[in-house]
Amino acid sequence: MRKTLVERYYEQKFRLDGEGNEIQDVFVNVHSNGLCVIGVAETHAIFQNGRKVVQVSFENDKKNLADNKVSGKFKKGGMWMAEDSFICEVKCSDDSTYIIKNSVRGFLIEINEKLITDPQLLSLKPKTEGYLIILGPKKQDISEATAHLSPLDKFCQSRNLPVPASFYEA
Amino acid sequence: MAEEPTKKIKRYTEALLLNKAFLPHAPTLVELAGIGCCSRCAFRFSNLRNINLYSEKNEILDGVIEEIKKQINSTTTDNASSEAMVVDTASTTDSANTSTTSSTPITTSTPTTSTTSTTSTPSDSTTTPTTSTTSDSATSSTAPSDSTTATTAPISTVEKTTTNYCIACLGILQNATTNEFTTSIIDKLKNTGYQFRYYALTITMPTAIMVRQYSIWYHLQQKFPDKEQYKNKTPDDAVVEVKEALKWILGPMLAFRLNLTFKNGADFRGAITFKHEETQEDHVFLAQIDESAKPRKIKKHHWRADLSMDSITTISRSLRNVTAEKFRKFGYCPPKPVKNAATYELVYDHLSVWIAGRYNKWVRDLSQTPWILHNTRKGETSVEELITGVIKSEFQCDEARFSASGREDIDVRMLGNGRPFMLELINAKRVYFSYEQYRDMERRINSATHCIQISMLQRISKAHTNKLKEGEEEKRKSYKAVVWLSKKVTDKDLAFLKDLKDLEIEQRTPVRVLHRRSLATRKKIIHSMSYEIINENHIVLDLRTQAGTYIKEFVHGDLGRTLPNFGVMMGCEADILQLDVMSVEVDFPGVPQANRHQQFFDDTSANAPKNSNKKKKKKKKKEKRGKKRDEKKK
Repeated sequence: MRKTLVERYYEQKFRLDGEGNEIQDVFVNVHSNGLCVIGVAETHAIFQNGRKVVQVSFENDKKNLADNKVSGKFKKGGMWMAEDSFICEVKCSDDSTYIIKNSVRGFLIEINEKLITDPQLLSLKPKTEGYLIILGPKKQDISEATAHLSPLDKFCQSRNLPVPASFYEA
Repeated sequence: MAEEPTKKIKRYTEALLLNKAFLPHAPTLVELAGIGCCSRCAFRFSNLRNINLYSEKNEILDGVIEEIKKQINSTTTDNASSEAMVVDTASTTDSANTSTTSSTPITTSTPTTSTTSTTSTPSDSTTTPTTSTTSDSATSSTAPSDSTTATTAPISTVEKTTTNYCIACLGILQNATTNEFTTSIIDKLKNTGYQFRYYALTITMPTAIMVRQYSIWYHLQQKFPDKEQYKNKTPDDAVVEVKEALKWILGPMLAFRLNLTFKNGADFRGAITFKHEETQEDHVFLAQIDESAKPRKIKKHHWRADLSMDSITTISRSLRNVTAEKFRKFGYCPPKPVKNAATYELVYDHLSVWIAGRYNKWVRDLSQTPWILHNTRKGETSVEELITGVIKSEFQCDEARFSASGREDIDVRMLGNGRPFMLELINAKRVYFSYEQYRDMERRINSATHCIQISMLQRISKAHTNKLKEGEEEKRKSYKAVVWLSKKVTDKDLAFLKDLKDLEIEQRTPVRVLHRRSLATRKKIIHSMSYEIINENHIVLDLRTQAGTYIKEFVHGDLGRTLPNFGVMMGCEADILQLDVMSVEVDFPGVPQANRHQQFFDDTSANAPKNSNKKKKKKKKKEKRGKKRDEKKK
């Protein structure tokens, strides 16, 4: 059975947050090289009750993630993101807004600016093209920075979802 | 070739005395031989550039000097106002004047009687030297019974009966033709373990050599103040350097005995370093008197710390800055006697040798180079190790550095005529292999494993190595991929691919390499594509792309970070299941030639490092600067 791109290259982890109608789960796909692709988990409230994403903004009063600039092999200059830093604000079709917060401490490498011009991408493909940011934890810190996150099977069990068979394959 | 020594001596003597350029130097020869220079050094200061002469044995050279001395003296007895006489009077008066200012070191070999007197009766003192020169040919012209000046005393005996060594070359040139020295050098070069025909030799002299050269020069200026040839402030360019003379002697000797030829930029590099503890402080006085020398704290410290390693540049600069008077006052003019001969050390290495070829990889679990993750080794071996193992043992080198024209992932095969690679071999002992021997090496590597295969193995020149990495961006590569599509496809859906030529795509640095490559968007070109349908959801996709294109990312899109990607073009999701590199379109290294050039590969002209021109330019600039400074002082 073919493993998807995400299943092949990433370890899927999650931050469980909230219950019922106010689930604010976030996924952290940890690549085998340590980089983390962070996005909104499908269980998140913004995908429930027929909501559609209308606007994504990476800016708040304090900073604008879109200004992030990194240079060189070591991606110097990236903004430091604490474990609960602001990532973006999402406005939905029913006028509700949600603030998505970070869950892994590290340096910001890249934001998915396509979401600014094409917010539906977040609703359509939250796991792949609709990712939010790519972040790089400090090299020594990778396992520690992600230790508090839940692995895929635990996430599924907590949210009453079936665990994909591929999770148990090598 | 048994020319009798006496005949040879006569022949050289006659030739020299007929040489108009040399004749003014004849008294110099005698003078220098008298104060303690070996014969070769005496000839050096006459700026004599007869290479064969220096290679003659000491007894010949000593004999020539003797003969010349005889000839000169025979003319001086006839002519009372001859040059030699004038020379002697001048020297005595000079020494009388300077003796008051000098301290004990001065050992001018003028008659001791005149040194302490204050120019009282110059006319009287002239008689004594002249008689000594005319009468006694066995002793040096101006030497008293002072035992500290030596050499050339009894000429008839062969070298090394004296207890002292040449004050100018510290025995280096003096012993250059002795059996001891020649066998020592020859044995060392025979037993290096390296294979070579051309050699480059750097020679490092003790710093005292330069100081003493100046000392003798100033002495000659004093002794022959009217001679044109010593008017130059410095001996540079007016005197044959010890290094040069030594190379004149070594060159033919090594060529004759070992069939080795000297060539700049040769593969084999030898470095001879001469050391002489006895005189390693000879230059120290310069630091104290060179006012223009602004020693930075560090320099001053170094100046004291390791005397034998004080840089030639600082010393030569000081020598140029210091006046002759100051030198004579604070230094030794002429130089002090030398009790021990200089010793030498020979180190050598071989320039890098390059081997090239092409490799195929038949398996999907072998990395190109050793894979180390978090200090642990992943995978048993690699393409690199499978190749270098055999090469290292054949060439007997310290290290084999692998580089290739790009690389493929561990799970990607390298098919077709392979990927070009090259190895830089560090310090290879064996370098001469025939066309057949290279084929043997290939067979050894290929039969040892089913994982890889190499071909076109050959030696290449350093200049040729540029071709591997040259024009990387323009190179094209061909691939075959097995692609899964989320929707069912037929020929109708795919036909447009065949018409797409030079499709431009933009690839952000793939996440899988983003940890070690900078974040950037790279424009790449897919030159052409074709396909074969396997079933409704699977095709084989052939692509010909620009070098540096990430094929996997083009197919699956890498989270939309490669655009357009194959999925977007097909209007569905796509993923890559398998990838093979079909060809790397680089003409390197080319089909090996079965000829003699390959076997006795001599890369000397190509090997001459580009830097050598830079160094020469720098040296010339320095010399110019030095000369300008000297001229300003004048």
